[in-house]
Amino acid sequence: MFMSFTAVVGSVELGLIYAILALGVFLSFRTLNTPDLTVDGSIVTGSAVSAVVCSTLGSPVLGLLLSFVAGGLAGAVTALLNTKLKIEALLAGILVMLGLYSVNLRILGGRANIPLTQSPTIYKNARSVLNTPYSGCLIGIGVLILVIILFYLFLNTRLGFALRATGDNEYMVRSAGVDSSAMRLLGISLSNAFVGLAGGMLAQYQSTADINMGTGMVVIGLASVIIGEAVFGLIFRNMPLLLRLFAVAAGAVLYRLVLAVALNSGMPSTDLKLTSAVIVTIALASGAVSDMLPGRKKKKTILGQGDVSVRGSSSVPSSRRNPARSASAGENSGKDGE
Amino acid sequence: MLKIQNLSKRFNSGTVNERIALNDLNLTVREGEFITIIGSNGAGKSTLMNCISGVERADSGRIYLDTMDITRLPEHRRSRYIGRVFQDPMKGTAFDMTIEQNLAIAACKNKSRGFQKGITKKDREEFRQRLSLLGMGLEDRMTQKVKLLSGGQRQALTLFMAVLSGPKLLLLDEHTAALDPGTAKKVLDLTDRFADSDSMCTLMITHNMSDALAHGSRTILMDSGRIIMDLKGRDRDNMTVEMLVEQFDIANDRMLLK
Repeated sequence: MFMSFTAVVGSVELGLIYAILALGVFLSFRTLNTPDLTVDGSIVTGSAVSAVVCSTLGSPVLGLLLSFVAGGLAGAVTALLNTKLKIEALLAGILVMLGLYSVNLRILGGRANIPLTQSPTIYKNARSVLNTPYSGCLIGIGVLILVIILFYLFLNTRLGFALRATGDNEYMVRSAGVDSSAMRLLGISLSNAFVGLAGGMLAQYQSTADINMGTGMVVIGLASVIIGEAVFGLIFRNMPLLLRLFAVAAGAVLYRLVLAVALNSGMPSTDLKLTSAVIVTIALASGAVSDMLPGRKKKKTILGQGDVSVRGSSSVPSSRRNPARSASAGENSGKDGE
Repeated sequence: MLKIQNLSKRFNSGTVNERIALNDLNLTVREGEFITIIGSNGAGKSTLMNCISGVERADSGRIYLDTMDITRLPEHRRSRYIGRVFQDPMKGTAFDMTIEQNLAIAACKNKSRGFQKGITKKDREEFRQRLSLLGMGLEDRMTQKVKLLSGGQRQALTLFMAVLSGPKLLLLDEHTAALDPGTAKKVLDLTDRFADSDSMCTLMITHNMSDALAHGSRTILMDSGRIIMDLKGRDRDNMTVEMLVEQFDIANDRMLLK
């Protein structure tokens, strides 16, 4: 039942990498309010680029930088399909994800994987420099904190404000003079850039890049975002942005730990993906389920307004899902076709 | 100054559902003028506004704002000169962001949006001061999210945001229609205050005919994509809702007579 200490450290190391993935997914899923399926492909792109750079040029840091760029490019393609060619966001993501499979194979030089056992990685470098068993954790924490600070600073700039508002309300953003398509391009690119970075770290951590490693990564990212927000939502009533970013990151680590416990207690590893899918389903359904409970309805009518903010962000308030519809109440039905 | 020349727009062109929304429409709005627009459903009022703001592209005709030809300018580019308030109180604000963040986004209309700080201390002071003029107590709730505000407060905030960066043109599309009568009156009073500017033109669509006559300095009546009445000066002062109905045989669909 109890995990060995090294198993815990291993889960945390992996969780810290997945935290970067989760923050990337947070940017598209929460900030832009768009579930982006490119992630399953762009994380492999990141890891492939990182592995190729490590094995040929021997420069792990350059590998990470380039995996960031490569992931961003993949995201840009999705965003352009969505905004310029008017392909629905979900479909655009699926198309790019599919296409990336071939691209990733090309990056990997036609092989299904590149082993990095003989090549330098940031983890190997850190181990030799820091000389502690926690070097992997330290590297992970260092990169993660850097990413969180960058996220926080960026989302509080004028540009960041415009990006956040785009996910909230495109009408408002356009009438405030912001090009909402450009914001989508920026947001989806950045999101996938961080996903690519996570892929690059993953390849160096596992000492291998594999063409099939991307399957289900979106779901893992979503699960981390949702779990983090739900758990922190129990403790904090109001989550300012910085705390929310930490919550998402913590969600990823927590997710790895829960999985490790489950595997340790006898769950076959082949059931991993099903477990992930079930966790995300439960978390996403919690909003709908709590709306069905009689207790909640009562509370709503007492307060007498539709958009009571729901405690904890795990359950999405109905106003968030469809702002335009929930506002047009009664006789004034939105547009009357003039 | 807003100048609209021979503007036409039809929907579902070439199908059985073809509908002419704007039919060779001409309109000139002088600086400082506040025009109220009335007309039955399908008269083309909203299409006119959508063509001016860039949501719809006109089939033919030109739109000039001052000396600029804005006919082909994309929506977000025009927005630098145009403030808008929609009928739907949810449409005008980013609901999951705070009041001050919303204001900051609106205040940056004519500034570059880069890696500058989103809100500075100075911005905050200025917002607080100007918000207090609304008399709604919003200045003490600047760090609250907009989704916590009522519909009326949201419309007031949207109106405030629309005029924050000094636009050349203010477009109000039935912005009080979703509010209860008391709140609607408050928002209309605010509208009068904001629209009282020498440099800005205001266009307001309303279904309330007495509001249309009571506010602004000129009233136009639209029907089938054309302007069929243009009232200003003494003619307008002497006009009553009853006379309007009688003279123009206005179909009483959604127009409010009182």
